[in-house]
Amino acid sequence: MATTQGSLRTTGLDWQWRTRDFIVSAALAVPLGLVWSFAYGFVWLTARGIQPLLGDVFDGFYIVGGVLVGYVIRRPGAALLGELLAAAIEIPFTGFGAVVLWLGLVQGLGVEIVFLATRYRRFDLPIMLLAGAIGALVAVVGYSYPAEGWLGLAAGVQIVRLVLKLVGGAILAGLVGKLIGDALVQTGVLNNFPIGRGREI
Amino acid sequence: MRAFVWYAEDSFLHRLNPLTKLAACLLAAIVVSTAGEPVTPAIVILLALASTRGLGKVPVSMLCRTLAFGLLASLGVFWTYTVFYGGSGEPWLYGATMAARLLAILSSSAMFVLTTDPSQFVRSLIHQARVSPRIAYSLFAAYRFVPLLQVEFETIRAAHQMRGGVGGGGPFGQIREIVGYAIPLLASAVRKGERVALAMESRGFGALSAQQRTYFRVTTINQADLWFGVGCLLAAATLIALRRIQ
Amino acid sequence: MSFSVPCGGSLLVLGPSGCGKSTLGLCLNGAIPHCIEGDLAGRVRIDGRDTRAGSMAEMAQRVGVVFQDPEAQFCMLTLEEEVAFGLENLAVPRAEMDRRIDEALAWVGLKDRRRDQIERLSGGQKQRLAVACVLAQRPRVLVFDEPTAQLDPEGVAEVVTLLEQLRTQARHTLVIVEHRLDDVMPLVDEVLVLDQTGEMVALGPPRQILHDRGEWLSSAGVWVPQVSELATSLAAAGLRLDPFPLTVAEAVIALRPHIEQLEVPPAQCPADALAARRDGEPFLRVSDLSFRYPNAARQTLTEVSVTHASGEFAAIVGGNGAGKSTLARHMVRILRPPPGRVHLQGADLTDLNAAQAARQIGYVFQYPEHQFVGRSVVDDVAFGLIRSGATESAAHQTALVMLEEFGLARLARAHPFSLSHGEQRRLSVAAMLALGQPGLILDEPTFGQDRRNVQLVLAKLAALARGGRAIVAITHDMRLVAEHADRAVAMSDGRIIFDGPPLDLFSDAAVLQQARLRPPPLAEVGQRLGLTRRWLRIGEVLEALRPAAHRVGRVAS
Repeated sequence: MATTQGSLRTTGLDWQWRTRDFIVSAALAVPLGLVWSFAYGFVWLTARGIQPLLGDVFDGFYIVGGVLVGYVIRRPGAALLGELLAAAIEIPFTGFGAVVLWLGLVQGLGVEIVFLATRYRRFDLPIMLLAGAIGALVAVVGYSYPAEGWLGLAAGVQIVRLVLKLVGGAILAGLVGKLIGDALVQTGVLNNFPIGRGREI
Repeated sequence: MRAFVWYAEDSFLHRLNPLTKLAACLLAAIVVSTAGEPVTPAIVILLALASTRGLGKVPVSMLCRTLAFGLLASLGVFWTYTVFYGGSGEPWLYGATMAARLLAILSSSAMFVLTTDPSQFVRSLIHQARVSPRIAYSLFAAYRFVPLLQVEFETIRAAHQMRGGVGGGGPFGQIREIVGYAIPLLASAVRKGERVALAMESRGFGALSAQQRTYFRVTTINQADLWFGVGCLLAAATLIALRRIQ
Repeated sequence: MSFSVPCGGSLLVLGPSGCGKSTLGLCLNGAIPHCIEGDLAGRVRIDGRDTRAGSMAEMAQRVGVVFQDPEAQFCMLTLEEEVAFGLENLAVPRAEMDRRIDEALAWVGLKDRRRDQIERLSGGQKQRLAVACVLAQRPRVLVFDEPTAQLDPEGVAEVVTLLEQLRTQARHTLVIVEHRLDDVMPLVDEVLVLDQTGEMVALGPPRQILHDRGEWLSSAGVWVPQVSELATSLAAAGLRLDPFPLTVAEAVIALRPHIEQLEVPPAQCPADALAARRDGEPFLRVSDLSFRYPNAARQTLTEVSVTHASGEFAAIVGGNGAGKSTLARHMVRILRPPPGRVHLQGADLTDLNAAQAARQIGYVFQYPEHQFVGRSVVDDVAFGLIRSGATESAAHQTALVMLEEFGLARLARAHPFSLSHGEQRRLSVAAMLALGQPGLILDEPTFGQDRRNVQLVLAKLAALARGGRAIVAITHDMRLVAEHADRAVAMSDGRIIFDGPPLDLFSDAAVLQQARLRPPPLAEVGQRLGLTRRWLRIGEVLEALRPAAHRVGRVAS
């Protein structure tokens, strides 16, 4: 890692994970994983309790961790790591316990797949929306069907819920994630990360 | 200030390796997810609660508090799934099955959360699950950030409200407010993260590989874990067998 | 640049903000080039060995760095785990760890808190822990990068004591980057001065550097010990102090021969001035306010009564936990007082809604970043105006004018977070004043700021007070209180124990002790010289000693 000649400021792909990438991924995951639930989870969790379908759109928020970290770090595994970290961080603080790890895994995989498909080169709005949606999709396949028993629901209801989840993922994770990422780039705090590289400081 | 939900105590469950308990949760989830009636999940709920109370010495009040939301959510699941049932059997039976399933998953998860020290959990990831220290220690750092960022969030919220708030009321106003707080909070988190990373590297973190570095505290797998694992497997096998008989 | 520090020596690095002091520290400990990218030319050798050789694990055993943010140096949850973390990184055998942890924590006085959670520690204790973590790795060189910048006075004292201990033992070589030179000067063998571009400008013993470069440093915005500033000003007026003082003790010795010639300046007694301004309903009146946070062990405020008048610059001072911030929050409605306890311009605060209160009194937070709401500097300032009904274009116009006044016009389009600390502080004040509120409360307005910025902001606040606004500053900065405040309110344990002119505050030893305050160096010098009337400003001393300067010229001691 030592370098004495020239600058390491690459404009191409920079695959090597630095310590700060890990720590900052965790740092980003903390507010995303927790602040939502502290401040507002109360509200929509109660809503879910009364009528779960309402929650389907809001579930997208849980995917924003993976999307944002993937957007900022732009390396293989970033999105998955972001989701897993957000899930792991949540565990000691909420009553949901270990099940969130599985959710984090499947959601993270979904987002990661989309970024992987573009070889981690494309991070424009359509890809971000897709990433959020696919994250939700994989969660539906990996959790909602097996564990939440969607198969027993009326076909129409299944479709509605699926659409709600996909839309929620695309908007609340994909769009919001991109907006947050862009806003952070403007603040200048991300200048040392792949998302901020290539900018004039 | 929100503290860990974990209940500190010295009990059989507390002394188990966190990954063993995690495996038990996974097992429970599989067992109930493959069950098409509410009896199996109900038994799992009972087992989970009983072991948390008995083997884990967690007071009932804590159990109730942790599962309060779960109860609410499962009630919602019950009536929603009953109403929207699309199969050929009894709708209410389906609703009950799903509600019980959710509660079963949450109860076993609660068993994990209430009896596991988060630091021990991270350590078990390093020593048993072979997770790289670079990832695991960032989890430790994250736990450190939680109280800090909480205080920052409160201050930012107070400051924004002082300036007249950004939103405008209603749900969309609330969302805009959250986003308004999110940016300063996340920016602060990134800055702190970078500084912590620098401090960690300045003390040699990452210079040695996971095998070369030493560890202050480790987690192990021992007899208790094996017994517990066997017990869970037996219970699972019994439940599945009983199902066949029905 | 080229310099060397002998084994056991101590070097102080001075320079304006942004000159690269921190970067220098990182070059010394090997983070540059091992962890941070960039161009590095030349050589850094620690104990003969180049920093480029070997790994960071080896470097950590040669050079340790203590950084400035006590909240952002740790990754573990308890003290012993944190110290152990450093040992783990070096592959120290497990059997040895306990002993080394005990050793390191005992050294900084935290051994009995070994099992505690780090988040329960105070800022000063956290910095002590950081020192322990570094010491446990047994480096020969210690670098301190502004270790007291984010601490309250108690924390500063703790860290300075540690530095003194390290210095006396002389087992380590110290490199210190620090702003609060009043306390640190005696610990320093040599001073290295950098200019804005990061070039080495001077290197030498502290006395010589401050004597030769004192004026340059001050004009570049670098803090120098107040007594040295005094000596430089006296020298310019024709009275040279010999030897050039760096500490209060030295200043006392140097000035003693001249105090017979002192004349008490016939200034208007501040108490009269205050009385004149206090006719009529005060701007802000707090009566018998008591408050306790939920789940708090004790009362945070007990029967607090205080008034603030328009045209007055007041300072609220006191130790940590005295209740200053809590009181201030009640004044601006962040915390709701019971009815009848707080009156703003005659009206009960509880009768006003948030918007009405905000139009009358503003609050500037300690960390400017907490209160920024705009995406650009000008948007942030315009925000408040738009909220109270101005059109966008009108608001922007006014905002730009404010920015001009505060020297921020060229940054109008930049994001507030990308500004320097000093610029952010000015922006936060500008944004709060844009509405033209008649009152303003500021929480630690000079915290972590360099000299130039502090003077700018304080001058502005003083001008505003003279112009008729009520200004209240919560602060630990005693120089601010001495040089700018008309009135000081000292709190201790939730009660007000003093309310009057700063001059009287610094003369009252009992109050100072109870409120855990230290008077600024100048006042201390006055006290030790036995003056009945303390010195608050350098200008006063110049006035007082002017006859001596004319008469004597150069003094040989």
